[in-house]
Amino acid sequence: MTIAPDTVRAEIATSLRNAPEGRLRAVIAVIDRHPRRAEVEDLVELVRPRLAGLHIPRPLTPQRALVVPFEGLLAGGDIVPRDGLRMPRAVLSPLFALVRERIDPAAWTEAERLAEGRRADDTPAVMAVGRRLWPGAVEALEAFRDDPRGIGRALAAAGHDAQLLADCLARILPLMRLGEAMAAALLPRNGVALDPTLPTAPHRGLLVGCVQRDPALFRLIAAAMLFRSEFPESVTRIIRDIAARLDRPAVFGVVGEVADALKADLEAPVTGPGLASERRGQAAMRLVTIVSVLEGMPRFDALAIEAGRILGGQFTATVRDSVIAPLTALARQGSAEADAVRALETAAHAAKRIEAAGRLTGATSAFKEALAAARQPVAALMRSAAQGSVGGIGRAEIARLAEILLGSDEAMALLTEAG
Amino acid sequence: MTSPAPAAPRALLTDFQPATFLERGATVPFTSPLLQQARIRLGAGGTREVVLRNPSGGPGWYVGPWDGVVELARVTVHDRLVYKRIEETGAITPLEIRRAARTVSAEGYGGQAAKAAAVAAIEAEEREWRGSYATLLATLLGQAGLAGSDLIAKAHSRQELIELAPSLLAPIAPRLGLAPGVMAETLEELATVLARMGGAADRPAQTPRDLAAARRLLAEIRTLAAEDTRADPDAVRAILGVGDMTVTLAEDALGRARAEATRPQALVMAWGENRAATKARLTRAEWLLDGWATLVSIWDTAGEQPPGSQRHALPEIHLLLPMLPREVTGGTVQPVAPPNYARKVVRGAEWLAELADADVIARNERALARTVA
Repeated sequence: MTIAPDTVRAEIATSLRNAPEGRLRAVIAVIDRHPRRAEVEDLVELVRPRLAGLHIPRPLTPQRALVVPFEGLLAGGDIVPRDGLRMPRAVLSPLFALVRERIDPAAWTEAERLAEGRRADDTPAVMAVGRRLWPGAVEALEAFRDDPRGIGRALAAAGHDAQLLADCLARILPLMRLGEAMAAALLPRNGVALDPTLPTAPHRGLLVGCVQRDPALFRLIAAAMLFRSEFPESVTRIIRDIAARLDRPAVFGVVGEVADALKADLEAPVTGPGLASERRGQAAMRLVTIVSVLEGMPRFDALAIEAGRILGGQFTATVRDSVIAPLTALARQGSAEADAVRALETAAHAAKRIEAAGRLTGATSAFKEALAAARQPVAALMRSAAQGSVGGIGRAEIARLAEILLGSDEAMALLTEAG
Repeated sequence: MTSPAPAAPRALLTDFQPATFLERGATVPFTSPLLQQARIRLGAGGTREVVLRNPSGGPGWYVGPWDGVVELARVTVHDRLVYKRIEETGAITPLEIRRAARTVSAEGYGGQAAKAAAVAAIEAEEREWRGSYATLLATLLGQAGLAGSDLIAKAHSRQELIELAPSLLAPIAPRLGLAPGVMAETLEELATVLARMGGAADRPAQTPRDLAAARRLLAEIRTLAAEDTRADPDAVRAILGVGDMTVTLAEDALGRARAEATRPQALVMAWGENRAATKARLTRAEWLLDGWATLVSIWDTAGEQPPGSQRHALPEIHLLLPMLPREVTGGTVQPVAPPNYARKVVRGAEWLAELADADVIARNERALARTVA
């Protein structure tokens, strides 16, 4: 019997998602040392939020530095974006193949040397590696633009999706040309995310520099910043100011596009319990952060209301499906792995982020109702645990979940009630 | 469950330089941001007091009644239970506080990492206690030229050792003017204190582990300061100044306590004559290092973040630096005033403050796993 590669990959992805912390660290270390790790990078991408949560540093590679200028437009994980801004991560495979094939080998070797032993979160090292690669990558992409059939055939012959790269070229190439400036705007400085409103931040200059000369480029830069910056509200303010100063409201359209894309992410079907809630939480925070600075603009007010409605639903579903249901299941088991308990706490924290974002939109009733609904089973489990009739999970673990979801006062009250 | 909120006023001290370790107090491993590095101490009249860094992030320390400290703000369930456990046990020294916190962590209220660390630590401490007790007993017998080592080696549990001791000590106790039972009880108490020091280099106990961690922290900060000119010089100077002195004094205190442990007969006598003074001598290293586990954890956690994060952690470590009491510095060390470490909330992002608190609690729980280990 032959097992389809997709099935194998799906099984590996599931194993990685559920792997205990120690095993996950070991697997990532093995992948990071493997010379052909790029081939399984998409699998690692599936657990990226978990890696971030565990503070597992990733090694710097030429590929990682190469994507920095347009990373904001790369969709997370296995999401296939439906908006006209972001690209699926599958585009990276033909891109890397193209660049590796056509770039000056000396530049690539130098980039590898500079990346050796450095971490992916080491901004000066990323910049140094990127400087060696971005100009050559631009030349490679321009060659592909000029001869899409010829080069595309070669890429396709090597098993790469040349058509996907061709479709994304108009988004990658302009940002790659601005490689250093984009990287300076998007990477942390001295270990701290850069606030775009600081006078030394390059964001405003980048945006103002192209808003009249090249509106299409402005749209790409703005979108990359809105999707990637730690301060999307500041980027939004800058764009709003530019639109007002130039009296060109159309400039502001990109904010609406990004907000719609984030809203679509929130509505996307769930593909994996913990990870999905984590991603949704992040998308929710970004969306609400953006629309929160646009109060009074009817379109965004409507979006905020709609986002609040979606977030209320997401919150209810996350609490019910990712916290209460697995908690109840764990309680029925004889024992619970520490990682299973951690996964519950991660989901509960993600739910709180969704709630915080949702409450900012003015929606409160859905959150109140979901929390009231959660209290009852939590209290019942707590009582059972106090009587020693819960197998896999203890009173403390239940109290911690109650604390995350309901607050410490309520958690103490439940503990006291349970006796 | 908790005491009612205190009526007594809380005083803001702008320059807190305790005279003694007792005045400095013992760190309580709370996880709530507001109570981070809070210290408990005995105040005038034997009432318990809490010493807190100015919660606003401004200069100074607040000193006030311990009672009701967890009512000051919304604090974690873990902290409320630690507070309750301290109330129940009357814990006041670093060892006692750590034990109280450890029992709460072992139940799981400080998270899975702290739970695993606490459970392992409780087992290790029991093992170390048995090792210390057996060593004390065997040394006493050996120095008196008496047999008994075989019997001691065969005793595998605390209870077996305790039951064995009075009969073995019967020939020695009268020479020291003690009843065998009293002498055995003294050994029990001494073993509890000495177990923290550990004897075997390959299996270091709590205090040597804390010492090694503090030493590593200082070495890494020294390296960072030498390589990165942007490292806050005031913070580096303060941390290294206090840290070097702390580590040197702790090494010395640990060495002296270990040397004292090799003369159990004298130790038993000293314990009987002045228990408080003897205990203070033996636990001096622990008092000195109290609070440093958290600093090490802040540093290590920053080390897992993007490069540059450890440099940014220096002001916070400076802020939380356990001040050395005048009884060891002689008043010669003038503390470098820490920076104002006021919490910054970005305009329009006030709603994120609660989530930021959750991040700090998560970090403090990682520190807790080290503290209760």
